[in-house]
Amino acid sequence: MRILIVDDKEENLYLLETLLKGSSYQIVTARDGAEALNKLKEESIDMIISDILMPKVDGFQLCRECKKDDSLKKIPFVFYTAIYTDKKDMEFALSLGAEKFIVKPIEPEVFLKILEEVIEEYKKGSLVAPKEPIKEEEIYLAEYNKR
Amino acid sequence: MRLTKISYQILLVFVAIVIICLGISGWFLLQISENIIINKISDGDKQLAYRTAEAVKSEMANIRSILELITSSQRWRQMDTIAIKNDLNLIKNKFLDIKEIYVADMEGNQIAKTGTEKLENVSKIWSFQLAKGGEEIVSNIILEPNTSKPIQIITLPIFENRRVIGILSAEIDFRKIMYSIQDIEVGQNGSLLVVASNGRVVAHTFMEQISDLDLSSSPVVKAVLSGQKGLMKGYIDELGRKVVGSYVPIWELGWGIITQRPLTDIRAEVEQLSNIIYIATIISVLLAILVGWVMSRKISKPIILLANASEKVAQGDLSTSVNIKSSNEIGVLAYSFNQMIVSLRKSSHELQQWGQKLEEQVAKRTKELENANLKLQDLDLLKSMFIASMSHELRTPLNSIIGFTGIMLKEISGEINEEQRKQLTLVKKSALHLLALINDIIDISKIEANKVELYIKEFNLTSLAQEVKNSFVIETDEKGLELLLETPQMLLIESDERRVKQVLVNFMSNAIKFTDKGEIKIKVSRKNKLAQISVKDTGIGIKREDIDKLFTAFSQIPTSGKIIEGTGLGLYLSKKIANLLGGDITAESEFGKGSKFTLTVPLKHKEIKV
Repeated sequence: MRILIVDDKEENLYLLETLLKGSSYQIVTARDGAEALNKLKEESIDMIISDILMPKVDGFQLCRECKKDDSLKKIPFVFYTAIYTDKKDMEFALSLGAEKFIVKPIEPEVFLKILEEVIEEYKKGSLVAPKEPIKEEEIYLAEYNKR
Repeated sequence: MRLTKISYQILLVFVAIVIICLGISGWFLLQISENIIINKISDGDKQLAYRTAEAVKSEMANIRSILELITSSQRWRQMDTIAIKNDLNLIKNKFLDIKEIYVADMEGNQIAKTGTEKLENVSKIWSFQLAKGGEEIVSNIILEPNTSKPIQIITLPIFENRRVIGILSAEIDFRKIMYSIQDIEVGQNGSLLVVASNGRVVAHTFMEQISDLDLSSSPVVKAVLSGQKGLMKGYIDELGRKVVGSYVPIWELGWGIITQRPLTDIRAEVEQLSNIIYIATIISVLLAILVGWVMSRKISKPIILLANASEKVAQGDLSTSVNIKSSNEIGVLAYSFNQMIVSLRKSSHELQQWGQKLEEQVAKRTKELENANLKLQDLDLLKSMFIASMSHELRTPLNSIIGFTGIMLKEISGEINEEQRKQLTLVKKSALHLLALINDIIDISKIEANKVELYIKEFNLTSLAQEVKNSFVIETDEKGLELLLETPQMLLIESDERRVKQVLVNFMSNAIKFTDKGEIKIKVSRKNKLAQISVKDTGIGIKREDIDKLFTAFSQIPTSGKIIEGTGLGLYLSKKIANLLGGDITAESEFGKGSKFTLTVPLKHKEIKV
């Protein structure tokens, strides 16, 4: 199980890396969306956990790119954010096709439990297609700008 | 306002006064002049009556003295029949008034006589009897049966050394006197009459046959025969006319003279005068109207000027002034009025200036206020943004704290001893507490900024209560508290489930915090269109005076010897949430025995407000 973790803060990457490695997941890291997209092209990834507020390409954009890409859209996408915590943010994130929206901070046990649930569903194949259709460009941008 | 012209009022009053004065004085003048005329006329009439009376008297006296003179002559004393007869004829021829005369001796035998009739005995006649006794007898006026002449018979005794030796009787014809009276004019239609002592009229201006006219019952005749003289107004005379009469008595005869003048004659004279008065009155009134009109114009003109000017001033025209040059009160008024307008103009100008100044100041202040308000709005936004972003920023470090404590406790990075576990658990607990605080602050700042969106849907309140109860089982077990639940089978309500749960969780945390033994009971119930969910504990309770403080921010009620950790925001936030849901929170408590907190929300959101 290879998980791509995307966060611009070193300590967050370190925290997730430690936690997930401790649960015997394999980790690939990226410091922004652009880097993450590169990594996704190079390596085979089973799950993406991404922060939202990042330089260059942010989490929303990353998620959108992934879900637009036929080879990537099946990979479960989990948002993990401290800044965008409103219900509206969550709704927007899920509308982009993300599987989960986790608000920082969260207790490690709870976090792992959520991940396990997502993986379980992924394995069962119930996450094959995005729950909601990808929105048109203009609508996306309009809502994106509100974030 | 309808204007009644003051000049008309003045004119009306003036003319009314003039008419009243003239009327009264004219009436008096008429009365007085009527009296004067009557008096003047009757004075003249009285003079006439006097003169007539004198004339009658002297005529009578004349006749008498002639007769007396004859009887006292020598020839008569010797009763010389021839001489007497000559004398009698002489008298008769000389004096037209004296008609038949005879002389009789003491036996009543006529001894001499005028005319051709033969001598008779007159001893049976009553006047002879009386005259024989030495008396002078004057008979009433009688009408001679054959000729209807008014006659009077005078019978005189003839004396010889104071002894009666015979009598003389003369028949006196009154026609002469009557004729002379008939010639007397009393005004145009007035009359003069002579009444004898028995009330019979001897002579009358208008009447020739008058000797049978008896006026003894007439008041004026009664008055004159009683010897009075005077004036009598307004009685009806023998001709049926209303007259004014003057009367004078003739003492010597016991007769009276009366002049009578019809009132209509007098009135005619008075009428002339009254006509003059009427004409004078009309001319005066016309003059008064003219003078009054001019006067009222003169009086009212300045008043009208003043009135017009003050009307203009009242309408806001301060450019007017009154041009009246007079030294009376109106002049003073006009002067003061002009002065007043000048000062009004000044004040109005000042007022305008002040108003302008004030407006400028208000505008300035308003601008300042607007700026301040904008600044405040900016500041408020900044504050909200600051709180929000700060709260979010706090999450990132908390993520590391909570995350790494969790990792260490999971011993992913290596084993830890018991002491370290205990300490790390405390770190984790504190971090979670801090997180709760941050979440509350975010909630409150959102509610206060009206930025909360509710997610209203239908849910089962019973299941929610069940769920919350289950989440607290571990904690109550640890404290040894009994946890009870009383709910209906199902209670569907339409509200924000997450928020209702938030409040219930707050109630539960408080209950567990302040209860050391006993029980905590969650109760769900329905009351009309409201749903109620309450949490009742057997904890330390709240003093009555502290209950109101429960719902204010950051106020933790001091609890005796027990420091309870908490945000101090819980109930404050819960109350705000309840209100947001159209409901409310109520607290009941008995100090030392326990508390009960109840959330009431409408069954259907926004249908009713609690």
